[in-house]
Amino acid sequence: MATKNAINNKSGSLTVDPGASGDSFVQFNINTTGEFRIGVDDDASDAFKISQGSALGSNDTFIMTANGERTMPLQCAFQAYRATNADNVTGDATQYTIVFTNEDFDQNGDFDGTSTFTAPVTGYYHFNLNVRYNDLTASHTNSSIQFVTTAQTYICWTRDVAATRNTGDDNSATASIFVPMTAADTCTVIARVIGGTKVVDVIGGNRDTAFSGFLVC
Amino acid sequence: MATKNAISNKTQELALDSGSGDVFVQFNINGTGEFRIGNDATDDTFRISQGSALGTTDTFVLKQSGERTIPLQPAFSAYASAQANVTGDGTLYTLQFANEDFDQNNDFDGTSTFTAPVTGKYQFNVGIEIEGLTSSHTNGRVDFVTSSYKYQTYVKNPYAASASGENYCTFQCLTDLDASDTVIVQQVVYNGTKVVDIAAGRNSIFSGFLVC
Repeated sequence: MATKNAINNKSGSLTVDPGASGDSFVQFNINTTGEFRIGVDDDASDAFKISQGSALGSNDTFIMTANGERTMPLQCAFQAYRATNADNVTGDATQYTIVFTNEDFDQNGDFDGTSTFTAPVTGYYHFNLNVRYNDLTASHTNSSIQFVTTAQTYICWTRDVAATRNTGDDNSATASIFVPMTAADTCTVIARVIGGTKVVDVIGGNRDTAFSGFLVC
Repeated sequence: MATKNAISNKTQELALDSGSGDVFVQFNINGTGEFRIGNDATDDTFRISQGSALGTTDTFVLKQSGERTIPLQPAFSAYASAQANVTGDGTLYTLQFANEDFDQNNDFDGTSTFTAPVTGKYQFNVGIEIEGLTSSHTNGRVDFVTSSYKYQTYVKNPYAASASGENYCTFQCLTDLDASDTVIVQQVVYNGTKVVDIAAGRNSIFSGFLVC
């Protein structure tokens, strides 16, 4: 028999216990509509959950395992990459807004599937960018990669990619930023090579060119 | 006198008041304390604690000023000891990071491999200083290898990018891992002899954490 809660006897605590099995939870409703449920999910190795609606294990927004690992399955987080090369997109100072052909994940649907991340809420976001170039020549003596948000442009990795290209005329660049964004602000990334002709490719495959990000707080 | 909770009089509100001492909701299953959430009276922080007590096995701690910590969340940082003559001739070398500054959930094995304890999205950061480059070392890259993907980065002529044969590369990513997936860092330098070294200390460092 489930243990009745001790609320009538104690003012400082509430104990919830379903008995031998089943979830142990507190349900938050407004006008009988289940808004959130918090508690221990008996079907998930007794993890503590905060779930939208009226059931643990459906629409989980916060999961804390008994070992202390916390995940947030609906938190804003994405990674996109190029699976194929984008040929002849820069080299003559053209600012190429990188188009990503594939998503590994887009947990809250905030990346549009090609080039643009849109912040779902106001907060602070972390972004990573890795870019690989090919067909560099000796004339391509300057380059940058950029994060372009609604509020600011962040220019990173300004480098002579010609001098450090490998025997296959490849070079790569990498950067990360931590930035404030207002809800509906966007972020795109730009690759730019300067000094020569527009023959430089942005390489795809093996996640050599990838863009990722997440909401920190 | 402690205020009795108002559950009998109000449907929209449950007020818990201990007078003094912790105030909490305890979640049990069949008499076993699974989680306790509430206000820890020792410092008035809000905590989610595994078991039956606040302040013992805390998994989530929120201060009244709004700072949140997650004391058992996977998070680690490890740095290298010196590793000599590991590549340069095309050898693909798995970097060793034998010194842990911290490993909050014991998910890094103390040498080279991070293993994901749960399915989720993880942020990783790598910085590597390589030494001993010669003019023959005209090609190289760093591979960041998960169970699902390989990220090839730092693709360049490492000697041309070096100063006195020393170069530094960095990499960062947010990636998805299933529980038990692994992550390692590898480096390869081509076209010369196997004389390229990995620098010791926090010049060569591998870190990561579970984001969500």
